[in-house]
Amino acid sequence: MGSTLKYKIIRYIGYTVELLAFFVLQETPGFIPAVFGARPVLVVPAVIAIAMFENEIPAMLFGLFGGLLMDFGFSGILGYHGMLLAVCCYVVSLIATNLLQTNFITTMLISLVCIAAVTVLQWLFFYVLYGYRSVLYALVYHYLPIFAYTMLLMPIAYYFNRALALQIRSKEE
Amino acid sequence: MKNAFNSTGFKILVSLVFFMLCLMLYTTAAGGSLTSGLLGFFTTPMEKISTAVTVNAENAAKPVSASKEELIEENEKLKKQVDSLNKKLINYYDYKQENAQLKKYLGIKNENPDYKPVPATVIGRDPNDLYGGFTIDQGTQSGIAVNDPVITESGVVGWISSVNKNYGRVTTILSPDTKISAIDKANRETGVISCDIRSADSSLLKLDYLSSGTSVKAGDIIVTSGLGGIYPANLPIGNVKSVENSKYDVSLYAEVSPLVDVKNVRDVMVITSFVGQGQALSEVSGTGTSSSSGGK
Repeated sequence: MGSTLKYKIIRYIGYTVELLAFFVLQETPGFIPAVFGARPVLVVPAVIAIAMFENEIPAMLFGLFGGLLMDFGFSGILGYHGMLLAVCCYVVSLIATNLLQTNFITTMLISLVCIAAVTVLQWLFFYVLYGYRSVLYALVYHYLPIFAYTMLLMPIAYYFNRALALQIRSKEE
Repeated sequence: MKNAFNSTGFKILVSLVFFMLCLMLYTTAAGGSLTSGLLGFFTTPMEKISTAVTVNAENAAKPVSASKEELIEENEKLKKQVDSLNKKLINYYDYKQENAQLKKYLGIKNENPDYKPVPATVIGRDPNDLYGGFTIDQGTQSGIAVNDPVITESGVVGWISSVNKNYGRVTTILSPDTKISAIDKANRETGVISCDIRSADSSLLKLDYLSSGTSVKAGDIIVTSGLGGIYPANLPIGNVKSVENSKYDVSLYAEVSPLVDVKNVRDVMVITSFVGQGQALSEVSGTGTSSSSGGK
């Protein structure tokens, strides 16, 4: 029991460090090269990958943490991404635990839906509702490239978290 | 799965959603919070370090992209240079860069003795910001406040849209939230500098509200007019590239090429105080053509 708790804490510390590292890397100017002017949002694939391997409550809390980091980096309005990613990760974890087997294909499919939803909602709330011009242009030439670039990095987040989860889980068991 | 809505997790989720909504309302109204301060306390030093590492790595990687001849030539130069330097000068380039930066700022300060400048370094650029907005490593501790103008030795970069103790967020001149009252240096014609996403993609600004008989022409230098009290007068903004007809009315607008590459700028200066700061000209701003605003 004590050993299980110890490994669980180690895993959670690992996730926290991972999210902080991914956030710092995504914010660092010039670290990740821009493609068609877009840079990826590393935190979203990371929290989705964590949610695929964790139960609802930890998944939700890491979603909340990742979302708050995004809020801090982006808008300064805290809570929007925190709320969105907490709900997203809760649902992902629920689906992964009860309906789907966690593997590369299912992770990519779920992340495709989640990242698309996060991107479109961001476009809606931070562009369309702000009353800026050229809404479709912004969606096609800015938000879609960000979505595509973020999706491209999903396999890295998946295999990294899979390794982390499996390594520590095997010791736990 | 059937009992998902009755589970403890779902109850916690609903509570979290409610709490996040409250937090959103609070931060929107107050413009900052303990949470953002706390996050900033942890992430700002990390961003500073990662930015410094990336800049050094970029400098180190430059020779790799050069041709063989260039590398040999550069290698020769470097050998001579290394011979001439001793170990005490290991931070030579850092000091040189800092010195050059400070000299430029000193020049600006000498030209404008009323300015109270604070040099700052860009430590973060969020991928979700479409207009090149960035985070700097100076905050209220250095005397920076919301709406302070941000410049380089070349010209206007933007304004401080939010600030915390040890960091500040800059909204650039490419953002639609930025409106600057501007004047053509050549003929004293005034207008308002603004931007939209299409112009921002081409790194161009718009000088709006020009009359049909405008004498603004390509090559003219556009500077801030100082009206509105947000930006001091005579800060360079850009050069006129062309004059076009507005799609929406009979007025004309000029396409202005900014003097600063705001999407790649690394070192900036925040003017925390200048003569006329905050002196909003309400009687003029009523016309809508001669007001400056940091943002919304």
